[in-house]
Amino acid sequence: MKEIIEELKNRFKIYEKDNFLIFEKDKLKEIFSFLKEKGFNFLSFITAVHYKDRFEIVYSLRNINLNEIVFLKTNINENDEIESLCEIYKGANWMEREIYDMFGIKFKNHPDLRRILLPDDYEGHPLRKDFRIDAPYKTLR
Amino acid sequence: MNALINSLIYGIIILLIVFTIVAYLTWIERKFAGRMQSRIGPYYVGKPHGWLQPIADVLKLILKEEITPKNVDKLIYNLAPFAVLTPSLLLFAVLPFSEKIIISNSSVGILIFLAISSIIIIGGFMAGWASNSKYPLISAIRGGAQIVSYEIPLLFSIIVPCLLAGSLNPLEIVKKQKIWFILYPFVGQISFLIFLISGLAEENRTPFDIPEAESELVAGYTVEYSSMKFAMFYAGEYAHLLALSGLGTILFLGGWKGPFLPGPIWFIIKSIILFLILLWIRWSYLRIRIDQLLKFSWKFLFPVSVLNLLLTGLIVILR
Amino acid sequence: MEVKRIESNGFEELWVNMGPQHPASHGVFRMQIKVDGEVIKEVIPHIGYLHRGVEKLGEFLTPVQFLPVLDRNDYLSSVSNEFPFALAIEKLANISVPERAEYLRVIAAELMRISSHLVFFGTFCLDMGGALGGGSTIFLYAFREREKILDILEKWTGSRMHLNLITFGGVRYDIYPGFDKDLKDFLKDFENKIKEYEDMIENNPVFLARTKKVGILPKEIAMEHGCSGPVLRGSGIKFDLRKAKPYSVYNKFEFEIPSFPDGDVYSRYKVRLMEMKESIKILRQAIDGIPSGPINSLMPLKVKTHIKLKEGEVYEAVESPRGENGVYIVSDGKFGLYRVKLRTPTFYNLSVIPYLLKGALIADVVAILGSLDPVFGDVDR
Repeated sequence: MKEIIEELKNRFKIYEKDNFLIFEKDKLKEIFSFLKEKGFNFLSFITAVHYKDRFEIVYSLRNINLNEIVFLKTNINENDEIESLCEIYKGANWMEREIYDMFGIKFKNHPDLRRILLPDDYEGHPLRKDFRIDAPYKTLR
Repeated sequence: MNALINSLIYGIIILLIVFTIVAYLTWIERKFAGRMQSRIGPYYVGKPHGWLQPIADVLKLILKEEITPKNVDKLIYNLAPFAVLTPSLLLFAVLPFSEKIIISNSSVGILIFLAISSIIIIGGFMAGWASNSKYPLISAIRGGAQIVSYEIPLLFSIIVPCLLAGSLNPLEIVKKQKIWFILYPFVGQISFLIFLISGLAEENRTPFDIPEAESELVAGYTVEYSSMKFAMFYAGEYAHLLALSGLGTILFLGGWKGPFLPGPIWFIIKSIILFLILLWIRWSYLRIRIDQLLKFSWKFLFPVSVLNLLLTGLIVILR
Repeated sequence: MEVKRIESNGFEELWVNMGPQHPASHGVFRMQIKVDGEVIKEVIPHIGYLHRGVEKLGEFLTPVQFLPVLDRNDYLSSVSNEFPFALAIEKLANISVPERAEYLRVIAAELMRISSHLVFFGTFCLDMGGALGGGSTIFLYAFREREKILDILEKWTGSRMHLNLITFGGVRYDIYPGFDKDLKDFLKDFENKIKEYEDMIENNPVFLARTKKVGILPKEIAMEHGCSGPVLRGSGIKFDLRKAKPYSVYNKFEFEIPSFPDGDVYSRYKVRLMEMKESIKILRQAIDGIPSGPINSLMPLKVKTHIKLKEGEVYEAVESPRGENGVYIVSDGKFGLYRVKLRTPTFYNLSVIPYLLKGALIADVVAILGSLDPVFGDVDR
């Protein structure tokens, strides 16, 4: 496990901060293909956090054989797009749809990016910090 | 002229008796099922046993509002319940309740029974098509496939007692049963089993209740019906079941023969016992899938029933 | 409005809608199924009917106020929702838990595991048999056993389903004096009953014909989608968080993890059945070895409504009856939670539905959906 993290740090310029590995969003596909080869083929969850001027997208992978879990993070600015993981991990489909639904972050090359939990005609993205919870909701009729 | 009036009087009396028994069959079913599931069953209407429950159900169904969806095919939609109820009641015309009580004494009674009971599914199909909606359509198609596949084993299992007795007249078959046909060494039991299984399938009862598969297609082909029309489907199903049990007692269990009590009472008691066996199977088994059902019928029941028939033919020749 | 348009070409394909209200969909769930005869060609699932915005709610409530809200996520086993949240907050705020409280937490978790698997058992057979028919008989037997568990829990905590038992620093309620006798009587009775139900179901050829070789989930797809719990173990991978990363006092108990390699509906059902038996073992060991002591390290409980969290992020996960139930908390050092992400197992289990249903028959839909054991409070939060 230590060797994998060392190799990640050297090859892809990742730096570590309290057990989270922070990478740059351009290297997404290479990092995840590398990790999938090394046995991290269980995608646990993908989520996003909205800080004052940026979004942080958090990925979590597990390795069943080595019994390890690894967390990866990346920062994107508002209104930016990021590559989708659907080609490498098929399960990212619903996870990224949920992030789009709640935060408004668009994923490039996603096969089917539309709202999943909220109604299809909902306006706004609830989990953003600038979402007003007392704004009226326009219903279908 | 005398025979006509006789038949008319017997017909009316038997119809009334059949309606009452059909209503109380629902009560028997609910009590029996409740006991099997470690609960009481109907209790409140007519304490402590809930024996007024069927009357309450009939009243409720009569007084409910009739809702007809807008896009149905009106003529067929309204005719379908009658097409299910009338043949079911007609079946009782050929079953003898005792040596002298029979509405229509014809020499091909069993054939008439089989012919009429095949019409009942046409009513179901009419209901499914006329409802103009996907779920009833799927269920009606499944029902048609199922009934057609199980007609043949039913036929072959009914022919066995007719062969053993040498006639198609139900009166003759009962008179020739010195020992009940079910106790016949080998062919009796197999025919009885095949009769039970095919009867269940013809009847749309679990484990073969695919047309009314409740958890997949809610209520099957009767889904768009309400109030009295639904009651007619329901009553038709129970009447058909009772008629089938009646046929089973005549063919295999000795009809009206028995000590002490008069003939018709024995006939009714034996029919109800057969009905209870069918009920027991219904409340213990899960439902088979449609393709497994058809496979079972054509690949297993059909060869077995043909072999059974050949064996019976051999026995009759050697007798 | 972002809606996907579906066209059907001619009369051979039929789009059947298994709508939100359906006797067999285990909750509010809508599927549009493209059917050709009896074979399914494509499935479009729609979720979100039970979305209550729990994650957003977490940003406005204090942690102690948020605990009962979390109960309502997976409403069939509520302890496994409070458990990871309590573990995460205790890690962030450096609170220790006395040993008696850990044992009590394990007892509650295993009791709710048995109760949730009994609901699965009952509704699985109910779907396949019909509400008027053989299925409902087994349904009523399974729920009869569950009533005994709920009676024990009611005597302990005062409520049957949403226990609100686990809190930061331990548990809220101590067990009553006759508890171990009640539990041991129940366990002895339950062991015999489980054997009876197992024999009743497994010797039933109809059941075997409808569940074997139906709905096969290959393990690569299961792992890529993040399926966990019995869905993953039914596909041959022996991974259970209670053994892989033991939390609380699970490392003191001896139990096994069942897993079957086939990946069909029957293996998933069998995994849950054997898990019930393993839970009986754990409960026996727990109730025999429970130490005495305080039940909570933050006494008195009523005063501690504000827990000071240190800044940071933490992820804690627990093995719920449905899989890996985890909580990811980002805290900014003040009294609230900056971001709460609930990693609920059923959301990820349910995303394999399009793969499982392709090529199956309509009659298999209920069996496959039932074998994934979805609870829609979990999916939609």
